[in-house]
Amino acid sequence: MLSETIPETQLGPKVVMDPEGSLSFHGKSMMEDASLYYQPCHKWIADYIVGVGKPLTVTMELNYFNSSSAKQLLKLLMSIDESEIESKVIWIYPADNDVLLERGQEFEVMLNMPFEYQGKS
Amino acid sequence: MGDQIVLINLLRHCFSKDRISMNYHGDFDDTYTDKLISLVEQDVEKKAKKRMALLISESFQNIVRHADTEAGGNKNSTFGIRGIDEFLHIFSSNIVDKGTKEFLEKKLEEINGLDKDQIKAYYTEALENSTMSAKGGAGLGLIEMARKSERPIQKNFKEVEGNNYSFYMQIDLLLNEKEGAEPASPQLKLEDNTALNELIIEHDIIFLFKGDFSVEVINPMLTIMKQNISDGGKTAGYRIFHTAVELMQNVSRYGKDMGGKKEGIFSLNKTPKGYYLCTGNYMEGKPDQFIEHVKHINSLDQKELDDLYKKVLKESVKNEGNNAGVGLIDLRRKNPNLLEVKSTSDKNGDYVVVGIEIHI
Repeated sequence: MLSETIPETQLGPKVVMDPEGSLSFHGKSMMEDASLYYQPCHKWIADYIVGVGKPLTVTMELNYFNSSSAKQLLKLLMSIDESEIESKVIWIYPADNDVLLERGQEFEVMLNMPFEYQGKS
Repeated sequence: MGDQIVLINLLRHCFSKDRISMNYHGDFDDTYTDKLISLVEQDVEKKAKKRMALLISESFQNIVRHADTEAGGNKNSTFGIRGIDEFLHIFSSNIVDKGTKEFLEKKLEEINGLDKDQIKAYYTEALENSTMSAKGGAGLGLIEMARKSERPIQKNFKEVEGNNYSFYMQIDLLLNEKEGAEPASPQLKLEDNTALNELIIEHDIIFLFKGDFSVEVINPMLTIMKQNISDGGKTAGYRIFHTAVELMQNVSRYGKDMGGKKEGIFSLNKTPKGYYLCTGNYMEGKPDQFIEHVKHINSLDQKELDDLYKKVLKESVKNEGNNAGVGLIDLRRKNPNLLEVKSTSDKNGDYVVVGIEIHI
């Protein structure tokens, strides 16, 4: 399995999918139709679970995401959460933005995987 | 019903003939120029694009350039673009002192009295002889605008306090000039825009847009907006930005298809406590269900809203498609204010305006 990268766009984040055990999102996510943007990630996760199956660390460093993206991000995390693999989320948020911290905490209560929070100044 | 939602309903009727309309009364910064051009680019055919871009740049940068001479920066400046019939009208207003007023009046009368060839000769001469002022320009921009628009520049001055004047200017660009045809005259008079301008300043409307809510248009709008809400701090700024994104994307998602376009209106007003954001659009189908949804959201307390958000978001994951269905719930739960909604009907269908105030 090869590593894959979705480059950052005006509307979507940079996504790095590394079969060594990391998946990271960096930037903002505000597409009106986020399902198209995250399609390669859904496929990569499905392949990773079946083909690699090692522990996976998901790093979320998003400075904005809209409701359409919230659905897709939760969907991605749920597919990992429901699998057998060990996983965790590192939630990096701007230290002066309470909303983004709360967004992570809300995801956490909807999932079983552990979350680690890092406020970035 | 809040004043703002009534105002936007009134304004949308003022723009009923506009294919596209943009009015701006926020911070004037050079970096917005290309965003403003992107906003109207969809409305302009290829061959007029270059002239359109130049006229918008000259007109907008004229306000940026003269900001420091105004009392209190450029808080009384406005800029607007309206596409009506075959014209694109570019409007600006700013405060000038008496000396500048006299210079502009004389210069514009001189330029407006010249024909096409005379303007061209005058421009070449002015370019050769110009002793550029420290701020650049020195009337050259006005000559260039008259040369590119090929029409007289509409102007008006109104005395304001402190021996200053409001200077109103309108450039009319014909988008599709037909060879040999009788030159069309613009129907939109400067006076109409001046009245609208006064309304915009009176109600502190920072940004107003009417047109197609495509991705190409939403993104530059959001960029301009983001710069204008920086006074709210990170969290408040985020909430305002998020409200704008969700409201605009709702128009694009649920708006009625009007000839291949998702037409709508968006406004951002400054209020004593923060900002008021609202959108309006024709809806596909009846608005009753939507209005009931808003009423239900408004009736819930914080915990109920948080629970509903999580429930609907989690449920949405099971469904295909891009819509999470939590946009309005999220706006309401992050805010002590209620969502406001108003619907009206006309020959085109049901028109719905939805708005919310965000405190900073």
